[in-house]
Amino acid sequence: MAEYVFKMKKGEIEIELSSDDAEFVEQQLAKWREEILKKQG
Amino acid sequence: MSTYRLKIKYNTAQFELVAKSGNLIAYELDRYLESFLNRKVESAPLVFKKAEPVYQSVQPQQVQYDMPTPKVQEAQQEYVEHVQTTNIVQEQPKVEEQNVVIEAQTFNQNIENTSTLEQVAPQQMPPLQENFTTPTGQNTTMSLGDFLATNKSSDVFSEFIISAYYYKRVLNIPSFSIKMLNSKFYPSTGTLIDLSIVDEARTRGFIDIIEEDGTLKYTLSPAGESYFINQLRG
Repeated sequence: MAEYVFKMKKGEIEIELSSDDAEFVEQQLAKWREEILKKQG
Repeated sequence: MSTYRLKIKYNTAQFELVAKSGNLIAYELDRYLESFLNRKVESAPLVFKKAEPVYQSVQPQQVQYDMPTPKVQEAQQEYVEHVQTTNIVQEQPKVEEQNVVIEAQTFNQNIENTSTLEQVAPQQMPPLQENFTTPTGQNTTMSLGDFLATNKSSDVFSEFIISAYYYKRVLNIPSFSIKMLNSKFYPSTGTLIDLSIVDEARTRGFIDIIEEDGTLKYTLSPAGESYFINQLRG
């Protein structure tokens, strides 16, 4: 079964999300991307 | 069944949360998303900040030993020998090799992994005064309006979570449609729950969607119950 890993790093903090649920990881990734772009914009 | 894993590293500390449900992980991830974007790099996130220790004075207890004095001395001697032996055998681990693992149990608001949460949340249910007896001896269920008034309903979102809890735990109706909810919600609050509120609750992992008889219904998740108990309970 495939495992999907999503990792974010900022300074000394590192956040890693992993799951075999592709849809879940995709949703979370999209949410993070949206928030980060919103923050930068 | 899928497995969801959230790992947070900060210097030598590491926090790892593993669950069989994505809701809890999504909720925790949302919290990190907020602090991650707004946090200054040099400050530690909330989970790694040391809590202020609380010291309590303890009354000294008087212990009476029933054992005769020679036996006490013998036991003390055995204990001292045991401690000495243990100190010789054990080696102190090097500080730099230690990995501090903060268990999910110590994480904020009593949120553990989902399976534990499902066991803990119902046990933490407040003793609800859901039924009371009228002077005529009839059992009456507390109205949603009264239930909202006895809990911390500061905005429509919190009112929605309280109402979902009311359906699940007071009325013993585990799932509801928006129409069902609004039939009680509107008379109590004068406002209606719309899909944006439901979506927010779902994004935060407080509400699950289920399908019953071809109809989409909503149910309060274990994380939602925990949120009610920790944040909204009056």
